[in-house]
This record gives sequence, structure tokens and C-alpha cells, in this order.
Amino acid sequence: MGPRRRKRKTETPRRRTASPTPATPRPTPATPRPPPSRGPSFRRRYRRHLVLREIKNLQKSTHLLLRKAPFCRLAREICVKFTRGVDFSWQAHALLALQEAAEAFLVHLFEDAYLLSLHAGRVTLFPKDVQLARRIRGIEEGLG
Amino acid sequence: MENEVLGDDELLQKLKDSRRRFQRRMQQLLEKYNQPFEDAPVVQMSTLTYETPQGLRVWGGRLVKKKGEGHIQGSEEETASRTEGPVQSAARGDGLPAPSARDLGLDSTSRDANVTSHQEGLAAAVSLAAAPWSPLKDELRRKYLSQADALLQDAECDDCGGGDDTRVTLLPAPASPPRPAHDVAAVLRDDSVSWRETSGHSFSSSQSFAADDLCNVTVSDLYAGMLRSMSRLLSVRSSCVISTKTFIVRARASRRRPGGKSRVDRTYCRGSRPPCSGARERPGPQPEPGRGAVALRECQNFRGLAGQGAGSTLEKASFEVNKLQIWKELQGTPQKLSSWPHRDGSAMYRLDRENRLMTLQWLISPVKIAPRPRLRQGEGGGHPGDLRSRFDKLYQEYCLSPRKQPCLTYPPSSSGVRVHRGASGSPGGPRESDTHQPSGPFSRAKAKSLNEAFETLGRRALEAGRGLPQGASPPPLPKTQPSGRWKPPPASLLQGNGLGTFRKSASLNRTFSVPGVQPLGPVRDHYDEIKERFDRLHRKYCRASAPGTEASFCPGAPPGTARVQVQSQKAFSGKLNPGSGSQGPPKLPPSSPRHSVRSPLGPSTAEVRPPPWSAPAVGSSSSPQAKRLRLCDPRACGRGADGRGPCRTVGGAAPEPGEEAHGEKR
Repeated sequence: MGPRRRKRKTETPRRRTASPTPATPRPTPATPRPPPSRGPSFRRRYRRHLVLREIKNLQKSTHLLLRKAPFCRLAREICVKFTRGVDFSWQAHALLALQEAAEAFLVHLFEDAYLLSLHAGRVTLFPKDVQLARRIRGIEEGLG
Repeated sequence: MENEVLGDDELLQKLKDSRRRFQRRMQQLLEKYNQPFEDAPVVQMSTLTYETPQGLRVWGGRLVKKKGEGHIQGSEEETASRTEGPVQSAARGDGLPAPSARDLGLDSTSRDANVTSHQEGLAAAVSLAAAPWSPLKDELRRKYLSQADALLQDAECDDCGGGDDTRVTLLPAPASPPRPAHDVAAVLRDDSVSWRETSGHSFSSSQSFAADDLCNVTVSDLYAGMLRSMSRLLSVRSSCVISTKTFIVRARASRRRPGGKSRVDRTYCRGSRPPCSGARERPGPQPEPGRGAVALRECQNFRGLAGQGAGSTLEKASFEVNKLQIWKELQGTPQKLSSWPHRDGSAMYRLDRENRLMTLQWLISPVKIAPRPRLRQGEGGGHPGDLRSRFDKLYQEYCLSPRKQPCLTYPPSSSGVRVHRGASGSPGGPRESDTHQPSGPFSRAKAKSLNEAFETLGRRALEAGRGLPQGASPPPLPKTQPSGRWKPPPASLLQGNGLGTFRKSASLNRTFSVPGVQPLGPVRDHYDEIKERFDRLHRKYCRASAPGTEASFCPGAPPGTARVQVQSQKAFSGKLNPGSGSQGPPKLPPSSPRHSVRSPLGPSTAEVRPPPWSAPAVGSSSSPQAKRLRLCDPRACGRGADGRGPCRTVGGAAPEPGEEAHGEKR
């Protein structure tokens, strides 16, 4: 979602070492390496780095973040309410469009909410931040 | 901390940026998905599954049902990897990069024997690899695809075109949009062009075959159906009937060709000549061209109407001979009489063709002829045939055997009766004859028989007018067939007023124009003759019986009233004598005259008053000569002098024979 960034080397957490050569872009590790057993502070920093990396990777990607089947089940649940119990058929593209729009909305909402959290001097997103964000947006955009 | 704390301005700025990015993202999504996506699979929300070339697959999940040689995806990792790939491509806006895309990509390179699956796979691949299409392009593509499918089926049936590759037609050349997968499109285009060439070749060859067959088709074959329908229409409409027998005869005479090998003959006679003996070809037609022409015309028209070429036997041999002779003239080929009545397939076919040819000729001739219904025994074709047969039967029965008389039933509500009623317009005349008319339907056969009856009556009237003195008793009424039917009174009874009424009733028959039935020309001539005779007799006897019979008339009543009385009497007698047996239709129940007498005077009760001449018929069974009263009877005339009109007069006179008859019966 963020601004377009050119591909850059992934920054792997290195302790006091500088790689002699620029490392090739490594993919996001699916399974992060186990942190070295050195203490809780180290673990916290390691996790921070992992989180940051994850954030960067996710912001760089464009694929759908939610699973399709659960989202489809959610769509069916809401659709049934409006169709009086009749199960309609959806085009695949329609489901995809809906999922993309929903993810975009949520991402934007979380962005605004985290800005408010930061404005409040926090780094932790609270539900009140989300609620404030929706309220600031107004009825159409926020509360809907 | 201060760094981390955002200022209001900064917050607002960041919020604006976030909003801007969100709006841009939504705009991209709208552009991406603002298409019909008609080729996209449809997910059943009840099962969350959709159809793929590999089989039934769960949305966002594994393959549920295999189709063909597909493999079942088992692990979640595979699922995730598969979904990630297509999801990423979808996010990039490449369309639906579902797992089917990978499969289709593989299919595009393989050579499947199954054309349909190959087609579907290619179609899906093209659609998936394409950039977002416009609705117009999708519509065009769909149209071409459907056409290509149809043509492909034809091509498969005709076994035209080379292997499976040539049959694959998906994209026409001009309609192929630029896409990243242009390679696939190009391949398909080439295939379509090559296929089109092969199909066009096959089509041209088929066209050449059709052209050869077309050369052998004649005009009659092409327009046979049209001619038949036209002839039927023209026969239904009797308004434009013109009889120019001489013209037709001459035209046909001029058309006779000695060689018989003209184009026309060839056309007519190809396999459809009615057989005839060759000896009669020349001399026969000369003396009887008129009859033959008429017969031929009848054949033409009637066959055209009937549209049937069944070999039916003709009743009259002379008729057949005439027809055959004329047919020979036209055909110019020897014909055999023997095969006429044969009912075999070839004869039927020939007759059918003859019908068509005759109708064609008839239509080509500038005049329209009233078709004379042909004699067809045992054939259920059309009303003219039935009418003609019945007419002939009746003619034979009643004209050749003068003793018999047709038994007639009057319609309950015929147009003629309505005309009469409308024409009468007299308050004193009987009008409400509806209720007492017989309930039997009026058939055209009855009309014909009625015509015949009037003919005979006309003749009898002439005879009676000549030889019957005024005071003499009229000849007895012949006994007729069973009951429920009215017997027309003999001509002798129709003296004076009766003649006039009967004449008008004869003219009444003409108004019984049943739709769809052609009035017969010769019958019309008969009617005209009869009418003239009746007029003469009417005038004669009117003058003769003027002093005696005028009193019997209703002075103020127009002639229509007496006519209506006649009709009502007929109807009344018909109704009241349903099963009277051999006593005859004019036999009224004994109480009927009394009933008529007792009924109050006035126009409302006219239906029960029998006409004057029918009253004597009541007693005909017992003593016809003594009981019958004539209109000029002084008793009838004298009672009519009361001024109440002939109704009352009849009513007064009626009881006498009725009583006598009643007494005798008892």
C-alpha cells in the first residue's frame, strides 16, 4: 500500500557485522530464524526487526491478504441476509473484487487508526483508535 | 517522545495522504473490475465451489471432483502456493489468475483430441491473459465464438478441414485485441483463417450441387404450394367469378399442338400424364370441347381446391370421358382410361401433379371460372365434392324419378329467413318464428336439395298452371319421407298468393349463401328459369284470382308476411313432427290448427298460424282430394273478408281439415 519503492536488498538482522557484498534480495522468510539465545532484550529487538521486515514485505506486495474461503463464507453469510435465505451464485471476479475492496478499506482504516495512535503517543493500536478514525471520516466513509 | 508525537498538522497531513492513497487504490480496482467478465467461472455460494477444466474446485481450496485427468490437490501448502500466484497476478490486474490459468496454459500447448475442451481451455487462457477488455470487445468476441462454434459443428459434420488445430477458431483477425498473450491469439487467428478457407470450399461445393438440382425444377414445382393456396383462396371468394367458356375452349384449341413435344407439354407431362387411349385423341375433343373444357376447369379448380390427387372414381362415365378427352388435348399424349380409377402411388402422384398443373394453367388464364365441384365418391375432400355428389344424387332421385321429392328442413336461423323477416317489416306478419323452427342445422346439402325441390315445383307449377282449372282440386301431395321435414306444397296449391310466396321463398334460397360454398352456375340458371316461370304464373293467377284472392291477402301486409308465414309454417311443422312417420311433414298435429285459431291475433303469435296451403295438407293422409283447400276457395276467401287477413282466414279454415283428420285418426 505504501509508496512505490524500488526493490532493495532485504535487511537481515546482523549483529555487528557488515556483509562484504550486497546481499541478494532474499525473500521474506516464511519461518524466521530462531533468535540467538542471548537474552530478552535481544529477543525484543529481533522481533522488532522481524516485524519491520514483515511490514515492509507486506507493504511491498499486492496479493490478497485474506484467505479466499473464509472471506467467501463471510460474503455468503451477509448475502443470505439480503436474499432471504436463497443462495445466489457469484462470479469469481466479483468475489475477488469484493475482497480487494475490503482489504483496501481495512488497510486504510488501520493506517488512519495507527496515525491516531501515534498522535496519542502510543505505538499500540487500540480499538478506540479505530473508532476515532471512523468517526473522523464521517458517516459514509467511516461508520457506513 | 516528542518525535514520536505527531502534531496536528502533521496528523492531518498524514491522514490526507492516507486518504489520497486509498482513493487511488479504489479507482484502480474500479477500473480493473468494471467489466462483464462473462467467461469467468461462477461460484456456487451454497457449496462454495466452481467449475474448472479440471473439475469441481472449492473456492480458495482444493479440487473436489476430478474431471478427465486432473489431479487432486492435497496439501495446504500447495493450495497456498497456487493461490498466492494467481492472487498476485490478480492484484497486479491481470485478470483472474486462478489455478485454472496454469492449467489452461498447459493445455494451450498440448494437442487434445477433445476439441471442446481444447476450445474452452484456449478461450479461458486468452481471456485470462488479456488486458481488461471493453464490453464491446467482449460482445464481439462472444458473437464470433458462437458463430465459430456453429460453423465448427457443421465443419465436423461435413468432415471438412484438417486436424484439430484447424478447427480451433476463437478469434477473428480484426477483433483480436492486443494482449500480452499475443502469441496465443496469433496462433488462433491463423487457425481460424485456415479453417475458414476449408469451410468456404466445402460450402462452395455444396452450392454447386444445389445448382444442378435447381436446373431441373420447373415453375410448377416451385410454385405448387403457392398455386394451391391461391386457388383455394380464389375459390372461396365467389365475387369474381366469370364464366367465359368459349374463350377457354378457344384458347385451349389454339394451344393444341400436334407434336406434343413442346416445352409446355414436357413440363406438364413429365411423369404425370393421366393415361388415356390414343385413339380418342383427335376426334373426341371437337364436338365436346365445351363440356370437356368445363369439366377440365372443374377438375382444375376442384383439384386445386382439394389439393389431393387421390385416384377417385367418377360417377358419370360421360364426365370421365370428357375429362379424359380434354386432358388428352392438353397433354398431347396417349392416355389410358383404365388407369384412371386406379389408386396406386404413381397415379396419385400423377394426379397430384396434374392438379398443380391445372391450377397453374387456370391461374394463368385471364378469367376465373366458377368451379364446378367434381364428382368424388368416397373421398373426404372439401365441401364442393360433397355438394356435387349430393346434388347429383338428388338430381338423379328427384329429377329422373319425379315421384320423389326432397325432404327439406329449414334452418333455425338462416340468413335468408332473417332477410325475409327484415324485408317483411309488417306488424301483422308473423315474426317470431325462431322458437318454432326446427333445431336441426342447415347444411349445404339441404340447400341443394331445396333447390332441386324448387325446380320440380316450378315444373309442376307450370303444369298446374296449364292444365288445372280454377275450381278443380289440386293433385294430391305425394307421400314423402319421414317426418321432421317439410314438404313443399305442390304447385297447384301455390295459386295466387301462394305462388308469389313460393317464388319469394325460392329467391330466399339464393340468400342462403353459406360462406365458403360456391354457388353453382347451372343451378343458378335453373333458378332464374324457375323464377321467371313463377313470375309469369304469379301474374297470371294473380290476375285470374284477383277478385277472389285479394280478400285473402292482408291488404296492409307486404308480401313478406306471407313469406314469413310460409317459413314459420315449415319450421313449425318440422318441429312438431319429429317422429310422425309416414304421414308426411305437412301433417300438423290435430291440435295445431285449433291452437292457431285460439291463439290471439297479432304479430306475436304468428308462429302458430299455419299457412293457408299447408292446412289442407293436414288432411292429405286421409282424403287429400276432398280436404285440401285452395287459396281461391271461397270459404277461405270469404272468411278472409273479415279484414283480419289471411291469417285469420287460414285459422278459420284450418280446423275443418284438421278436425276431420283428427277425427279419422281417433
